[in-house]
Amino acid sequence: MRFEHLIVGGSAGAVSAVEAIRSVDKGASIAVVYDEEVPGYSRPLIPHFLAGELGLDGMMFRSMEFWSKNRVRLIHDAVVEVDPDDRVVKLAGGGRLEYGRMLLAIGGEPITPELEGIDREELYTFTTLEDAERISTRLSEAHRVAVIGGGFIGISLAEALTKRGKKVILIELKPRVLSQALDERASRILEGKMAKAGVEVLTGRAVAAVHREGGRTLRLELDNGEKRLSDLLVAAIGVKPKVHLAEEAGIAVNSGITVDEAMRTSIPEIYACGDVAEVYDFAHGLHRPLALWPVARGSGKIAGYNMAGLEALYEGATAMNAMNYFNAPIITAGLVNPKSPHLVLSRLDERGGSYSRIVLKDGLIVGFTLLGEVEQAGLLLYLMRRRIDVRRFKGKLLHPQFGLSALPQKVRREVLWK
Amino acid sequence: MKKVYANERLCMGCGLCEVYCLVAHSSSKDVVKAYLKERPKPVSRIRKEVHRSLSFAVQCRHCDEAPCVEACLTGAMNVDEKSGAVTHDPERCVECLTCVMVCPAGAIKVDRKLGVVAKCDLCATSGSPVCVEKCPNQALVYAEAPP
Ligand SMILES: Cc1cc2nc3c(=O)[nH]c(=O)nc-3n(C[C@H](O)[C@H](O)[C@H](O)COP(=O)(O)OP(=O)(O)OC[C@H]3O[C@@H](n4cnc5c(N)ncnc54)[C@H](O)[C@@H]3O)c2cc1C
Ligand code: SF4
Repeated sequence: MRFEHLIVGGSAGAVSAVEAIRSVDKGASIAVVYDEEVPGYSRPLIPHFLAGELGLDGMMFRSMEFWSKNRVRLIHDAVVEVDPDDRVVKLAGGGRLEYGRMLLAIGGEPITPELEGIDREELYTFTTLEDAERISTRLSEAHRVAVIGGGFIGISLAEALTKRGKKVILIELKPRVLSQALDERASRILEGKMAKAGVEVLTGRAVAAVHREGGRTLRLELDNGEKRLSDLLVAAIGVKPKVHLAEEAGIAVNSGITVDEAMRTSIPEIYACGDVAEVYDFAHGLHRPLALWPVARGSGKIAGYNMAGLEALYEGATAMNAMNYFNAPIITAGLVNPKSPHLVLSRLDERGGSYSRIVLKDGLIVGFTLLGEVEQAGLLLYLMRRRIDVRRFKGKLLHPQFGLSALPQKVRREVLWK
Repeated sequence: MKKVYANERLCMGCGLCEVYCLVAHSSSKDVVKAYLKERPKPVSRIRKEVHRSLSFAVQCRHCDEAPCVEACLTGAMNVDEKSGAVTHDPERCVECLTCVMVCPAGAIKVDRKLGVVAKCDLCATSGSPVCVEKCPNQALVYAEAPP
């Protein structure tokens, strides 16, 4: 079988690409190969699923109708080999598909730590709906859960488990949680809220060894000799781009698949987007994987346009995260822990429960963190992305009423008169 | 498409648009009840800004290729195929704040009590934005292009 557009992966990037291709070309044949239980669910919602707040319906970012309405041939299988010379892929189920253009929207995979004394099956990860279901099934008998990793995924998992009434121990190697995305003060505020919710947050600690305690209970030995019991152990130490398929096909790969601004790989008819690809990070001025939902959606759309023959360029993004766990609304973006001299503005309002911090370099915003009051985050991100010199209104940036009115008329109109 | 535009020269910063917006999005539709009785308190989807002698009101810009629609984790933010307006479905919203992160106008309000975000819907049910109707100075217009 041959398809003009073959998309591998059925998640954020794939959905965007389908939408973009169809907006340009109503007639072209499109196939999507997906290997999870369902295509089109929202991965970031698995904590809500595990917490019992959303059922499968609520998880669906696009319903099954979406695919039929867009005349997409859905193929539930996995691509195991890409042959760019013949423009054909092999499927795990034995089939072969030919393509005109192909998009690799295959995402990332969880990194797992090396742990002694435990079988692989006993070390859970938390990146797919299936993971959430597997963990959920165990919760009827597991009461103490240890989570390794204090990043976004680990924290979201800790919250979901707390909501299910579990006793959670969160173990983070770095001296504080979210050490990449937050500054020290913001990390401490969040840790305080986690502790208040009953999570035992152990920072600057690693699991040195795991022993079986009897039944399915594990005894974790920490690097300082302390011990903790847990009925379930989940590693959430990060994800990495799933590059092996591309590597084997001879597609250029750095930490992720390297692409140009049209999301084209080193092989012109093969595109890549989302978590598996490297994109331009405008705050750091380099290309790197940014495993973020809006990036997968945005880059998938650009890939789709170009595949359908409409030229479009992806303008890049930066590390940017919105989160709302443990009653701490946080939005953070760009460079938040600068090493070289930068100007840092900050404001803490303990009574109002808010904290804001903005990092400036040569008159430009290069990073910020808002906690509590977050509604102006989008404007800060805009000023950062557009590289707008903020020196003239620097004094206003942290004001609770900071908004478009503090900006020069030209910038203001760009936003208001869209 | 038709949007609400603010005329900076006519706005006197009275804030009535915020009041009427809040009431229009309340369940009682009564100003006293909406402000004093309704819990959770309804949220205004328009924001009056004042800076020195400048004032105007801001709400969702209903952007083409809207960044919030692209960013939304759940599919709660969408584009109405007929009108082109950006719509928000609170039933699907999980208050993840991803849309807030990418809205350059700061036009998405966080309703922490209800656990959702809220934004201008152009008064879709009545078909005529109440902020425009009630602005005493005609500083808000509902038009195809900026004033
Ligand atoms: C718990 C969790 C919470 C998150 N929360 C947020 C958040 O709040 N905000 C945010 O911005 N981001 C969040 N993310 C990240 C976000 O989910 C990803 O950035 C996004 O899903 C990437 O989309 P994608 O389409 O690139 O890839 P993915 O969503 O990873 O999808 C790739 C798909 O391709 C399939 N696939 C892989 N190889 C093959 C193959 N050979 N054949 C067929 N199919 C294949 C995979 O199984 C998968 O279904 C979160 C992630 C996790 C795990
Ligand atoms: S807060 Fe609601 S509307 Fe905004 S991105 Fe999250 S789910 Fe979508």
